[in-house]
Amino acid sequence: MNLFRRPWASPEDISAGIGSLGPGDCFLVEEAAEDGGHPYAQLLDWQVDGRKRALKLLPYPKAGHAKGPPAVEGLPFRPKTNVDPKTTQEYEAAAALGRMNQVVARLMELEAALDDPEKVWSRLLEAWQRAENEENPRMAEIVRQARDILPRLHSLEKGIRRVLRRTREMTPLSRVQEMDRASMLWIARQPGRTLAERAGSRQRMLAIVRHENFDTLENRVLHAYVVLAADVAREWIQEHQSASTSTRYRIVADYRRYCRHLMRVFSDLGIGRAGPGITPNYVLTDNRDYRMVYNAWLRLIRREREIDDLWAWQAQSWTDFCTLAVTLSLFTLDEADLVAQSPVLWNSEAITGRWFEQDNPLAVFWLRETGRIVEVQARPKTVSSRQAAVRAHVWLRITDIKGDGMPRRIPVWTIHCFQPGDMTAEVQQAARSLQMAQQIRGVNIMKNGLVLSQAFGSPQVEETDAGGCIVRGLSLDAVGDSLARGMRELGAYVQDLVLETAP
Amino acid sequence: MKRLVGYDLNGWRDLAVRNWIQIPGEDDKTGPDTVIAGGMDGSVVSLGKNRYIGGAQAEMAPHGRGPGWGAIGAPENRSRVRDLLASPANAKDRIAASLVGLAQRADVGVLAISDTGAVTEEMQETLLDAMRRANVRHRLLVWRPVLALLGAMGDCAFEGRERIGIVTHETHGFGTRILTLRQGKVLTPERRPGGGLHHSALGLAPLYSDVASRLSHPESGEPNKNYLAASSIPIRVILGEPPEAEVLRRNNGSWTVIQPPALPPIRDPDTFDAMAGDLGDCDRVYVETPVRGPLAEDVRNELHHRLDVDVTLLPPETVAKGARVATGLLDAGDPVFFDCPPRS
Repeated sequence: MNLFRRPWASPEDISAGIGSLGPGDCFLVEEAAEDGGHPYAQLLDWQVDGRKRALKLLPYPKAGHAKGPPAVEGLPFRPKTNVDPKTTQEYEAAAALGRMNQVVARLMELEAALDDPEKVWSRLLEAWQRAENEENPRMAEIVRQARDILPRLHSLEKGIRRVLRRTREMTPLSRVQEMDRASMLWIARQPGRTLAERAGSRQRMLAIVRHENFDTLENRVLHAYVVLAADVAREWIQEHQSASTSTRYRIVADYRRYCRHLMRVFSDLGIGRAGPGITPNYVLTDNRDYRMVYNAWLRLIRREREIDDLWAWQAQSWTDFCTLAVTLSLFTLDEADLVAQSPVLWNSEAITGRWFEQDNPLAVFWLRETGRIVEVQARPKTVSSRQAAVRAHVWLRITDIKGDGMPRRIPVWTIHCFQPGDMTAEVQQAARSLQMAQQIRGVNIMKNGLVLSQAFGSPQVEETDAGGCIVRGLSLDAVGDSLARGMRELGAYVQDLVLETAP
Repeated sequence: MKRLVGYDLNGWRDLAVRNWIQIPGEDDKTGPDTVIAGGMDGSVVSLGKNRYIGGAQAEMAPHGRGPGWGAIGAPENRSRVRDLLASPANAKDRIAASLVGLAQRADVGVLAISDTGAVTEEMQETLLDAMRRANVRHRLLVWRPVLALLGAMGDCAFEGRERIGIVTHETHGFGTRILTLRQGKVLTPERRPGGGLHHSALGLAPLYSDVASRLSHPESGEPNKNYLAASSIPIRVILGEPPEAEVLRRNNGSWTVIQPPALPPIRDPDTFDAMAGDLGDCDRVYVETPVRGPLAEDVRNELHHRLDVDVTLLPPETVAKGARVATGLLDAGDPVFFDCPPRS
């Protein structure tokens, strides 16, 4: 198994012993397609001497380190929901989670855009343009709950369910209302002839009394919900500091305050917290307020589980984000007509970080004036040896309708790591790998390439030319100005690409 | 919020009208009805493992478009909705995929069905089952002429006991049906006996075949042109959409641009005479067709010349709008229509 810290980097044989992977590395390995024994997501496959080889992605360890092989050290860990960041590492982890959530939010907008499939790209474009304005955050589960569940919580606080629990206590004779077998045995064993004598000098006897008790299953769920909701609200607030003047920010901040108030109230009432996986009782299924809280709690728990999975596979989400960004850039070209588009099959939950499945090509555009066809391919199956050599898992295929030449292929490297890299060096190395791939037999069909990486708040554009192989590097984020600038640069690149290779 | 959907799934121009819209990054919004297009020449594509996609996504999919697209281009990966509707018994999942392609998770759904005798009781059961598989909670099948009238009632004033003739443009010709209106809590269509299917060269299938045959015999001498079957030009031409050049993938993976042929004038006076005979005692007549433009106008004019009453051409969305109106009636517990059984 060969490890690649970058798609264009030299292979490192894991079995021969290598240094550990760090936050600046990609987790790519190449091995026989059928090899396994470790979790992976397959990105590409190709044939070598009749045997299938595959480029695979390894997951990020949630703890931030792993013994391996390959060993991993120094990665941000998956932040705990109930812990406020205090150390530098915790802040870095929270920032990484925020970036991941932003990428996932852009992907989730595709699901809503698919509601009107005829206008999917225009609707997605509008949603992404809204996301460029950070002062107006998108709808999120916690925002929805802050709006819908708050009245339920108010109602439950006033009329919280209680039960009368029966306990045996020493009770004044005048207050005794109910006795059981144990208390009758007790009185029978006391010295004395009358009841008053047996009650002793304090005139008390063992009897059944009833006390109000709030520690019921439905209240434990309520308590667990407000704790989780307060944590999720805190996380959301941290990620949307730039939207602090928006209505949604205010609603979530108020909701968090109220949930924290309820946490104190419930603790004072002696209510415990339910664990996930409880069997709902009659109240949780039939009382409207409790039922809504219970369902909201389940949704938040599910979200936390999804984030666990997405954290490990966030490089996959980044690739999907980049694929959509490239497709939208082509869609916005004035002369582009969408000719075909593979159906997007949306999964109910992310599978190895992927929310949707699609065949290739994802989208095909006809550029009427330039007279060419551009196909967008993501993780294509069974690529050529030349494509395998550059190890890009998103491709553009450009065909001149009237020309007789071979279609050109543009590799798009989608680089995901936890540290900003040196873009100048990245594009130079990518261009060199493209140059090396030219030496494989056949016609020169790959002379342009694109590197897309995370901007970490500072979008960059670099371009280099190595022996006629031109690679441009762009960095962008999934929200705010960094998204807007990134999409502008991507649009300009696509326009240049179309004109540059025009006949 | 109840999600109400009216479906017009006919395989020529599939449409749905529903009472909500989903905005990416926002909550679902109810409000004015939204028309959702499921594509022209509706189809369902197979993604393997018994997974199907219908609606506009299937229309745009490369699946089943010929060998130039690789393995996914195999013809068995694409089924036409009108073929599925003609024999739905083994196509419940694919019809369900078509409905899902138009609207998901409907609380109340009404689906339009042809009123020319082509839809048997057994087929109706199958369609209801397909709706169930598409997660439509409360479902109903209603005749197209009834829905056309319900759709038209939003735009016109009607009086009780009027005799209204509805002409529906069908796959093999034209259907006629006479309806009256019964005044109750709401004005409700009553389906009268009579009418039927009039076979015609102006039926949608003969028109489609005619244009498709012109497309497959262009001047140039390319031997194998089966990729032309994937062209959307024939359906665009017959449905009266603006004619535009189209790029198609040849069998070898290369591309070619084809130009739309013109739709030749087709006359069928006998059919119009027969329809006029059916509708002679009507107070007004509506023509419901998925076609826009000159062809639809010609049909209206031919009938108008033969009948001494108003003949109105309804826009293609009317049936889906009527189905949406019917979902509201169904939800409120009001009658959608009355049926008058034929005299024995």
